[in-house]
Amino acid sequence: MSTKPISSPWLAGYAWVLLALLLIPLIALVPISFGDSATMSALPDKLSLRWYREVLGGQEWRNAFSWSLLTTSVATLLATSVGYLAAYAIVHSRTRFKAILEILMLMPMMVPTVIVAFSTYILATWMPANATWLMIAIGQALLALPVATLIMAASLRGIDPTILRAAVSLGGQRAQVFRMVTLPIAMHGILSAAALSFLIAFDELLIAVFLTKPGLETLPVRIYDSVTYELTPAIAVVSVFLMGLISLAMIAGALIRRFVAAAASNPASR
Amino acid sequence: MTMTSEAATRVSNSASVHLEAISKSIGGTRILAGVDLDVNAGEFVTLLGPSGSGKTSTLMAIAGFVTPDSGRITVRGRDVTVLPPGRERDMGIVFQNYALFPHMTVAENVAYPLKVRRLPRREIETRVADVLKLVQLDALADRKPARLSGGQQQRVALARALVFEPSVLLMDEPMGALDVRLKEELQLELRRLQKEIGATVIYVTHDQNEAMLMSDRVALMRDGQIEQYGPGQELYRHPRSLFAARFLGDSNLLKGMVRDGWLDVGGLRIALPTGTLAATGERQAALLRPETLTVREGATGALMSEDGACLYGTVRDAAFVGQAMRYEIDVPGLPEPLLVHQVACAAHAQLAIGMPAQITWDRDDIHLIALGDQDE
Amino acid sequence: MSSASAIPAGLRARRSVADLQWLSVAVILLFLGATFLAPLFEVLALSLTDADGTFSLAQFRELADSSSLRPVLLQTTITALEVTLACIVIGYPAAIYLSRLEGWKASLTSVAILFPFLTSSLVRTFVFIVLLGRNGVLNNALVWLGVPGAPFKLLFNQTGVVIGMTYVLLPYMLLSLIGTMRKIDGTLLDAARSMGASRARVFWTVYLPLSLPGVAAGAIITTILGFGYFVTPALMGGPGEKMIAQMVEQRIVTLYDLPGAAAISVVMLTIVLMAYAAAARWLGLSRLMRPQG
Repeated sequence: MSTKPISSPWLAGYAWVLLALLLIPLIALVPISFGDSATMSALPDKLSLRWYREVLGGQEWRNAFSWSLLTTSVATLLATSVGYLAAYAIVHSRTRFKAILEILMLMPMMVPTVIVAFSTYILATWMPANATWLMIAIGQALLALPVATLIMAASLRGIDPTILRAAVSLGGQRAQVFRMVTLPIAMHGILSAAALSFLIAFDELLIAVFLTKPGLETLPVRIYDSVTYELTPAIAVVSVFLMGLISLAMIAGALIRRFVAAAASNPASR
Repeated sequence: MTMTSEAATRVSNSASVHLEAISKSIGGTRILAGVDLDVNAGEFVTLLGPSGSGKTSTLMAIAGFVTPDSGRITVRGRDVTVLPPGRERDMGIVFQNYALFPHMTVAENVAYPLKVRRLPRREIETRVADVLKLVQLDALADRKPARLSGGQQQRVALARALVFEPSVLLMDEPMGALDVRLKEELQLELRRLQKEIGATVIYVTHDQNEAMLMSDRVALMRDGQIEQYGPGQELYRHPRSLFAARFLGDSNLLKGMVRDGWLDVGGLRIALPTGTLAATGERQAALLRPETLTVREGATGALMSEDGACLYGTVRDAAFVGQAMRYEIDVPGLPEPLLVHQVACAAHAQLAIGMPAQITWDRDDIHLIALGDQDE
Repeated sequence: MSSASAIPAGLRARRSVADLQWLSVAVILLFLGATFLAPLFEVLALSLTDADGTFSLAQFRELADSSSLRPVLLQTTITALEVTLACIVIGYPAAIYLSRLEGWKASLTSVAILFPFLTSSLVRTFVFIVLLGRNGVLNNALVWLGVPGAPFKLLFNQTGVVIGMTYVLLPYMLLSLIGTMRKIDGTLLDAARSMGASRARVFWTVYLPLSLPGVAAGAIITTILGFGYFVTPALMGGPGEKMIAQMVEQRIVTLYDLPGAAAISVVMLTIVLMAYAAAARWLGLSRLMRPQG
């Protein structure tokens, strides 16, 4: 059927322009990062690697990146593992219980971020001072948990329960069934959840702002301070670096999807 | 379903439809290759064919959703070939998935084409009530489509397509999603309803039984063309091609050459129907429908009878299929076993696998199909 | 022979699944309880104490009396609604077209939406500060085009905050809209056309009503996110214009007034939960929480 009552060339043109407008500001960061002076321009007069040297050579940016990597890695691990358990319980449990569990898991997403950050701040006041970085990680994990749970629940729902029953009836032990049946099928969901958790945790600002102290500063806090007080192309350099990370994640995601699709269509390869 | 004929809408403006050499290509593939079709006012015509034969495309061309590359479509003599679907084109369509608006109740769905025409509210109410009574859904007027069964949804779609009294009613496999029992019931209902209101209906299906049960005429389609067009009985009894013979019902096709007033099928002599004028040397296929054959226990070793309306063989398979016995009989000299459907009753003794069998028929039940160069 | 092997395999499987469930639930409750629910409860408790640590409603009384909270609450709500409206008006027409795409164009669309969606909101806000500045690309272009009144002040004021937040939140709206519009059956539109409806009528009577759930879900997400947003208002807002999340941040980081921060948090939480409750009644919570994209 070929009529499309709701469409016109104007709509198409507008939609492509809007998509371009979504992307162009981010792409504009690339030339900005290659600027030479302290003022920023999307069309710098002279290209240079000055700010790349500044960022890569600067101890502050390097420290901030290390802290972010540490907290985000721990947060990803926490969010993915707790999220997996939650997804499992939500998918396999009975109705009323499930609803409560679901709401509980989604709470950190429903509650405004600033309140999650506040409660994490309270949590940190109960803990020894040298555990502060871990509290940042826990707060980041809390923020990532709902998304991670939703993604993994969706992929677990896709697993036919008869497969599990078949595996158990064939004499599989619980751990075996998990390792040999559930895990491979759920792997795609787990990887997506981990990737998104990482991005959410890496992007987190408020918790780190509340818990930051001399010598403990995550990358977003560093960017935030820098935007507030300095506003130099160094931020553009860091932004370009972060966008490169996301591009890699998206490419990896697409490759994984393709790989999983190929593996699914060819069961002999498992 | 009993018709409440008092309330029945009689489609007074049902129109004739003519298609002339309709062709359409999409992305280099020819999906319609010169379709000619004429449908009289008040006639029920079915487009029948395997998937990809162009039957739905033909229907969509009539509906206006597919614009032909060439050819002409006229409704009551008026050219509508390039007219977009809508009020001007004036066609009621029942879509394959019914396309009921999920956010509207049954009554709102049915009222939609009338509201679009800005009829007075009172008239809309009466006509919706009437047509819902006609399809026996008046009790469900306030339900949403999601809370109806498949058969009820189909009837809402029908009511919605009928309520504005379109000149033509187009139906695209409307029974496809229903289970067999319901399907049979609705087929008869629809047929009766159509006769009662006198609508012109063009119907698409791939189900030959449905086509024959419901239609005045059947257009058998193949590769974007109409292979044969006529009443169902004619298509069944006198198919013009091997494709038509094979597509409608089960068939035994004995291919051979005419020789001195007989059909020579690999050495077996088959008598031609009385009055056949076929010259020696013509290649013909004899169509023997399985239900016109009679099978009984035969003498072992018998080969050929004198009258040419009898063959001997061995029972290869025998199966009870309810109203009939279904036999496959191996006949020496024929490449494929003969299929026989024989009514299961006391008059016919059942044969077991491996028994010798004699098959007889009336020579006038044979239909000859001339073989072309392509027919193997 | 162990006792377990006396139990039929099916039953054993069911029991082991139940065991694992309880284990999961215990772990989740322990984790959420210790790291989130307990501190959240402490926030609630803090809001109900006075300076001596005894129970009182002083914090709320003070908030109600002072002139600080009400204008901020109003400003925050207005901003959130403005941003949501902007997202709908900008996003809806584009989503109509984008939702119908297939193949590489659909892939390109999801990349173009997901890439900004996944990019740090700090980065997205930063780039707008650069582009919207008095000497930024946009104002330079407007001056070059001879637009009267240019350059405009687009930064460090309400306009800047709304523009920036719209850019940041638009992907949520687009994903929600496209997700819903994709599911609209095209034959419904064909059916409406065949019954004589004009294009405009098909849109108003069929397409729009069927796309409304996507608009509603997107609107709820952008409104609630916008209501609690921190990064963009903090970096792009003027000195006088505060949003409510900034008030909390200020009380924790600068003023070290934890009970005050707690009281504002409780007010905020109440409003957000009420919004959710209303939305859940209207749409169903499960629908609200479906991951988009």
